[in-house]
Amino acid sequence: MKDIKVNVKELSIFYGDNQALKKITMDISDKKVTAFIGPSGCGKSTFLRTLNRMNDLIDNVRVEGEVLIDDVNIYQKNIDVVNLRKKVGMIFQKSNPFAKSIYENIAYGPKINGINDKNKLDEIVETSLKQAAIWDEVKDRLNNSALDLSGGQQQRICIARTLAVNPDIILMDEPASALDPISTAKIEELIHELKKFYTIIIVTHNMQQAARTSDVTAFFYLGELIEMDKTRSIFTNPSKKQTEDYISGRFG
Amino acid sequence: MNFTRNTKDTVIKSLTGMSVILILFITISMLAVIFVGGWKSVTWEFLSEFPKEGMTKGGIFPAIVGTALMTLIMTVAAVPFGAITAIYLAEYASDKSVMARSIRFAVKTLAVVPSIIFGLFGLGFFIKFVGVNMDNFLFNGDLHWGQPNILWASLTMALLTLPIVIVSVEESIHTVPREVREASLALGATKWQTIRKVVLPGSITGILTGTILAISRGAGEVAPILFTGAAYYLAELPQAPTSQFMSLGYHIYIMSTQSTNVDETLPIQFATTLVLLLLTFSLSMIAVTLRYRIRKKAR
Amino acid sequence: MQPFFQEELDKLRKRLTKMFVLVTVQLENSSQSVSNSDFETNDLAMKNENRIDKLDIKIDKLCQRIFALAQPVATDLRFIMSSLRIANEIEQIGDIAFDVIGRAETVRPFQETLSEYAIEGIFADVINLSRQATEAYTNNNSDLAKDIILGCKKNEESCKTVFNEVIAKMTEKSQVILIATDLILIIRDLERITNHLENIADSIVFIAEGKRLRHSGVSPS
Repeated sequence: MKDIKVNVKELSIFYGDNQALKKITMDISDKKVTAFIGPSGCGKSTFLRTLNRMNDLIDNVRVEGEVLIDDVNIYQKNIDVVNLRKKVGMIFQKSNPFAKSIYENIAYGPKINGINDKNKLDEIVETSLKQAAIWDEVKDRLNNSALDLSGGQQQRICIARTLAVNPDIILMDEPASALDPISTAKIEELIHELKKFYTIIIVTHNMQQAARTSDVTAFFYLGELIEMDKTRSIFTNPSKKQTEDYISGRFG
Repeated sequence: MNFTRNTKDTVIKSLTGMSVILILFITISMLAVIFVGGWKSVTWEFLSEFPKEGMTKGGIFPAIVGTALMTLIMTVAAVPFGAITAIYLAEYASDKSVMARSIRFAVKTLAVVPSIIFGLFGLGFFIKFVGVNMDNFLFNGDLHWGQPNILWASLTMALLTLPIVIVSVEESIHTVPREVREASLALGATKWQTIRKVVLPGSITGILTGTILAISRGAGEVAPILFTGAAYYLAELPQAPTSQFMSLGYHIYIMSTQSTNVDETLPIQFATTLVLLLLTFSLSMIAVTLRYRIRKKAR
Repeated sequence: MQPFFQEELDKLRKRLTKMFVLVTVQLENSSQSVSNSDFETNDLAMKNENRIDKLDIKIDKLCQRIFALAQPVATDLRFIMSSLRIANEIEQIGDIAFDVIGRAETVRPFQETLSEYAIEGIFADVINLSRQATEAYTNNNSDLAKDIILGCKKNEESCKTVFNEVIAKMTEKSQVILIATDLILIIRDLERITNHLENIADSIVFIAEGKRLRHSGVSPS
């Protein structure tokens, strides 16, 4: 019995006159990993950012259609965007920890939500760092600057930071593209663990990564959703020739 | 072909080298003259005593205090106001909006206004308009606020340094990378929370640098305080905002142009100049060190 | 834009086609060894057998290389997987055909008896099916492959019929027993060859459509 967490209906996005997304319709299942693949500029990152309304930060952006998360359209008039972003967290391509200590980075989210009790914060920090599989590496230096860590560690700190606000959905925009193979493998393993508790949507230009980590894959091209299916089907027997050509390296 | 290119290179190198030497020479000789002329007179008594016997003897204590107080009031007036304006420009205003463009235009203009104009403005606005109206309203016309004092002088000076503060605060806010702001917003922080908890802490060194630059500028300027509050000789330190004050810069000016006994006051002039220079120099050094630290942190 | 391993895929297709051609020749040889009384065992058959085996090994290595270096997906993946399987099936057909040539020695002198059974016809069908399979593979023709499967099923029926006839005749005419054992084995061999051809056709359908008909209970018609 598949639960649908996100329901997208005829979503289009315009930057001025340029239409970046063309009537995207799709369902995203709860507690599964969905991967968005496609060549550069196909709209996959743009689409990801509509799910937590980070696109609002850009001037001159127009959105048509609906995005329903738990049956609520996040683009309707009275939506509290700040609350939305607590429910839908985001990990960015280049890790972006704050220039604060590791502890303060993780505690940032809970603190802005009004949690100030030291014991509670300590607990949240520890739980989040454990969930992000980095607790053992940093537990003795929580007060050191997060910027002193390696790239792969910083990215896991960013993941822990997002987990600390207890989201339902985690969006990942090419989370491992700046990392070496071993750090990438650690992140992928982490994704595998996290999907037991969170709905994960990952944008990647690395098809093998999509193949390794996701349950469902959606292929985008020039702002359109071309095909979306179980990952194993997409990679063994895709229905559309465009999908086949892209994943076997015949274009893009 | 190669020959002419090499000669051109050499010519340019020599020209720039010569100008560097020239500039260094001028600077060093200026400093040397002042140093040689004044260092003997910079004693503890000089720094802690009032002037005596018509400025020919004694110290410059009240001038130091006056400069310090004026600078303090100026900072308190300029920095918060300038910082808020800078935050508005950097974070809230759309770059194309009329508001943003007007403010930027005003800042640019203010930055190039000659400092004597500020002095005149201070006289005309703060003293003749605000001060006189305050007197009419509060004291039935008795002359109380409608005359030069340390408050009006400091506020005038604050106007002069305002563009400096705004520009350096805005600049340092811009050094906080966009990704870090996005991270904060993506965690469910409001814009103001992001500014308060991420942007400002991240730009604090830049804000400090701007403040210090403003202070050192303000400590040395004379023209704005000329008609608005500086006095040549006061028997006591400023007691209230309505008091006048002595200032290092003004002191040097008066002594060098109107002193009766030039020979006796010459060493004092040099010494006062030296003190002022040391003051502004050390402030600038602090600013430079802070800036170095910012650059190091922004790997 | 072609993926960098397109050359390797073309090489694979060429090699397997060559294998098909060789095995068809070997099947013709085995047909001749049974039906032509003038047939003389020579090392041509042995040479063919060796060439088929060598090609099998080369194809194995080529596929391994492509898998490791290219991470193929979708059609490319199915093509390489199937080519491996097909190579294996062809190699087994070659082995069986070679065995038939060996067995045929005892049977060949008795052309008169042999003519009572439709052995030559079955051989002809098998050779035809092999040629068709070559074409279906080279041209990625899954419709032809489905026809081949039907043809194989028909051929298997024919084999069973002849098999029963020989068994029946064994009880009637005792002379037949002399050649009957080898004859029965040859018929069984032909059945097995047909079975392998059916598997090959199934793999060819898989390349094009991503589905296997074999064991699925679905009829190719």
